[in-house]
Amino acid sequence: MYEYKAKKWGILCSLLGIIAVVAERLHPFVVFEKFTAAQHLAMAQWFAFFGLFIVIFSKEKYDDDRAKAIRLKSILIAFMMETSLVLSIAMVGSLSADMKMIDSGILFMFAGAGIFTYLLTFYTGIYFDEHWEYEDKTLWQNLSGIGRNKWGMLIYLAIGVIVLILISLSGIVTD
Amino acid sequence: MKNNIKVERAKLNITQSDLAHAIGVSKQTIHSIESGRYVPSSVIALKIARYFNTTVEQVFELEEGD
Repeated sequence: MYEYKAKKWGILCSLLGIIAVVAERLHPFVVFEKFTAAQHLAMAQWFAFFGLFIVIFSKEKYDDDRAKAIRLKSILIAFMMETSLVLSIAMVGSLSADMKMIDSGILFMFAGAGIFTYLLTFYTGIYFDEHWEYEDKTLWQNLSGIGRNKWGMLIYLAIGVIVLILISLSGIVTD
Repeated sequence: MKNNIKVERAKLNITQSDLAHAIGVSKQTIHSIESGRYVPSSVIALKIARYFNTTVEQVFELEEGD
């Protein structure tokens, strides 16, 4: 884990990356002649994700037992989400001969899905979700309790929307 | 697990933030423990008891089914 102050550097790095991505999208430009505008866009995306990666592995101001419990469960949820996504795409890919299996868009999408799932789950859990479930429960127990938990419902909706956006941005098109 | 942190806080007239700051955890953690949703580790339980100058058993109590 990084120190708490590393989070500020992560956010700064990510913000610069996001600004560069937006600028590249609006007016493609080249800083290093050796690389194309598309490669610059990929670099900007990399910085945006790398910044968020640092945020994920930075300690909280009060990194107590509860923060650790929520962090572990958020990592578990992000891992399950990531694996489900990989399995789903592998299934679609095996059925579609036209699909490009590996390109940078798909790799960024995998990274983004894991990072956003973790960040949404962790920060909602640690600051907003009063009904956070600290115990490990079965899928059915979790689903039956989700109606009482508006933040839990919002997390899953937000994750779903973000994954759909990432899939559409990554350029995965199956005919 | 039941607890009487709220009662102990009232005796000393301190807020959740004061207690959180004193034992080095977040305010949300104290809120979660106080409302019974989060069971603290033995270290945090001991720190809370020490802050109130009492024993862990006086602050925390097992319920049926625990």
